[in-house]
Amino acid sequence: MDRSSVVAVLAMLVVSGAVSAQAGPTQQELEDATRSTEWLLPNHDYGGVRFADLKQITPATAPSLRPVCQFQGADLIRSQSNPLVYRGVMYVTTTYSTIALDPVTCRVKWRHDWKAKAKEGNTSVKNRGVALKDGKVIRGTQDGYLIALDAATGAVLWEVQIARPERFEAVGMTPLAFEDLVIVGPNGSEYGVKGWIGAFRLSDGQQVWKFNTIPDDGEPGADTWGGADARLKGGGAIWTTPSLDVAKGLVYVPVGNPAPDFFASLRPGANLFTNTMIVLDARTGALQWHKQGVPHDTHDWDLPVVSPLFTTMIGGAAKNVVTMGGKDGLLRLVDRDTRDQLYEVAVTTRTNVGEAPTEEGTYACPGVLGGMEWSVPALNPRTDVMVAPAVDWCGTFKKDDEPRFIAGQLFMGGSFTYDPIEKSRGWLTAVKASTGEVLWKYHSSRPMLAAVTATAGGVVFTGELTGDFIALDESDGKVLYRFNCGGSITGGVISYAVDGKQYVAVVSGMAAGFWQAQPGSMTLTVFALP
Amino acid sequence: MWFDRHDPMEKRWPVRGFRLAAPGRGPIGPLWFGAGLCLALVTGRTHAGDSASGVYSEPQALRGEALYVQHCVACHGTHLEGSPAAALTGPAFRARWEDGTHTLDDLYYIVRTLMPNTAPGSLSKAEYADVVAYILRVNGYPVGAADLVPKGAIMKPVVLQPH
Ligand code: HEC
Repeated sequence: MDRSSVVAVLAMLVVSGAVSAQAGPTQQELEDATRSTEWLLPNHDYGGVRFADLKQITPATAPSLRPVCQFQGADLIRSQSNPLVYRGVMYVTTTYSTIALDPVTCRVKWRHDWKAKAKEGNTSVKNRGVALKDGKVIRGTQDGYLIALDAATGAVLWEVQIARPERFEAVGMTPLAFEDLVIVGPNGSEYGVKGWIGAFRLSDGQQVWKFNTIPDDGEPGADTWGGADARLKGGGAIWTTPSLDVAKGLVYVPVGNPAPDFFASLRPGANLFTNTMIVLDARTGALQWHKQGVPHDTHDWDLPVVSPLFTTMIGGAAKNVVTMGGKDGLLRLVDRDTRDQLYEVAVTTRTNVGEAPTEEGTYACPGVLGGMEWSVPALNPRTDVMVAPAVDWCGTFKKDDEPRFIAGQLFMGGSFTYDPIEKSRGWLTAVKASTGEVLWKYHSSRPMLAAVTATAGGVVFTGELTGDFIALDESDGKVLYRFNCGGSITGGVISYAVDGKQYVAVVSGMAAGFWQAQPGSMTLTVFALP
Repeated sequence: MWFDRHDPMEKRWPVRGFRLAAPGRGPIGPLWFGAGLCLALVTGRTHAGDSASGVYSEPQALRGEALYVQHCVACHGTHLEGSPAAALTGPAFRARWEDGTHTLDDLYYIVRTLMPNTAPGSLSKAEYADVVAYILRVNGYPVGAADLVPKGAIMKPVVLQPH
């Protein structure tokens, strides 16, 4: 190498160092994620729109997609992780591990394995992915920790136990990074937690604010429970990704179901803020407003979906709206300014929804598994098409003769008997986002749980419980490409570009036992055109 | 309070894996002996002095194994190792159940009201007791002479303990 080329190489190193993954993403980059062709936030951007502005893969080219690389996480636990891609590095999780890898070759750059330091909060063991900001990779753990890793090396920067595993809290959701805060809360509604969401300092994990989703005495909503006892194990945990209105600095938080799920006479009232979209000042945690999906729930019909959050033209006027969806099987659009509901569409079978479980049993749809679960709709803002995944699996809800709280165990106050597996199915429903008009439906032989991604190429990507990754034509729902990944797809499906080439990454593996699905080891498969 | 499962007045007997009553297996304190005696009494056995007795029988555990293979194995694994659902043996399982606050009746309650997760309540009470006996055997609880009878009065006083 001659002198001039050495200088050139050194200069390149300096330049690439300056723009390497270590520094970002910055707040500005996160706010601009809507336009990014990488994938910076769990649902792509703060609004959770899940639209990738990429168009190499079109209905014409999609049939020639093929897998280009695979990573295996060697994890036989629920695989729901949503990968992120930033500056040419992908970050994905298994239940106990965090992995940085090359999003084109799947080669691992670093891997961090968490060894539990405390008793694990509950038996609903899972992790849904990381948040990324200012050179840090932040995630939760089953034993209640929030940890920050160095994005460049995987070294632990800080670890703080934010949740109380002794009260059955575990942190499985994807945290949300905003300014100098990480917004996150524990799951565990079924285990009789008393829910909350908090903000922790990005620099050291110290708590900045906390909002009780199940109120303490004197807090708003406390009088909707018929007494303090019911609130102590009232559920209302957080398990899915909030959305954020950046302009107003408001975080939209999806709150889970009340406990005990089926024995509602123990908690007379609306049971705020369960099954509710709560809107908080992201910087202080102060409650601005809320909208409840299912008051006084008797069927475990959480409200896990509070995105996409977007602005659209309705009746000739620009409206700020947010999508609200739940395990009750309703996809709703809400005006963020007037707070009125603009429409609701049933995306699954709904029968006997008003009948509370009895000891003899009450048949109802949706069943205990929804409806809409943890994967949110994707929206193509250019075509006004929103595509929502859903579960369709009815069954019989039974109330216990004797509801019993057993520490660390499911606190259902009853049981649910599923219809035979052959009767379980799933739907993708495409609606005109501004009006709710149904455009098409895709029927899956099993419940649909995978993330959905819309793209500028007019192709929608998602996966099925059977293990199939599918690419559909956004205009009519026809399947353009199908590939069996070998294990259930219940997690992230994202699309991004590296060096101008479009890729799709799909996480497959294990689904929780009650889905009765093809078991598999956690695997990430990347697809591209030849 | 509705979520307090224990009557505070109710007597609960620590049962260290029922080893308490086994002769020649290390020191046995009077408390353990007393508990063993009581267990034998509450399970209706007349052989109160039979120090080798556990709370379930070998034939029952065998019946339970057959039921487990039929109704539980898909979610909890061939060796109860879990995946996709929780393990029914091993350190995490024991940490949850053998913490001194859980009774045999609690375990039986979870199994009879919620399992198999897809068809709760689909087995008979006696069958649920058989499956619980099998879980006890895999977790190293000593075998006794008589079957575990699915009655709250019998199972509530039995506190699961490390053994
Ligand atoms: C369709 C799947 C499925 C089947 C079949 C099933 N279970 Fe479960 N089981 C679960 C799930 C889900 C849980 C809750 C914990 C979790 O998410 O793993 C659970 C929890 C349990 C627990 C509590 C575990 C703990 O330590 O917290 C016990 C005990 C149990 N099951 C026993 C049984 C028995 C006995 C059978 C057969 C009669 C059975 N299960 C069949 C899915 C299943």
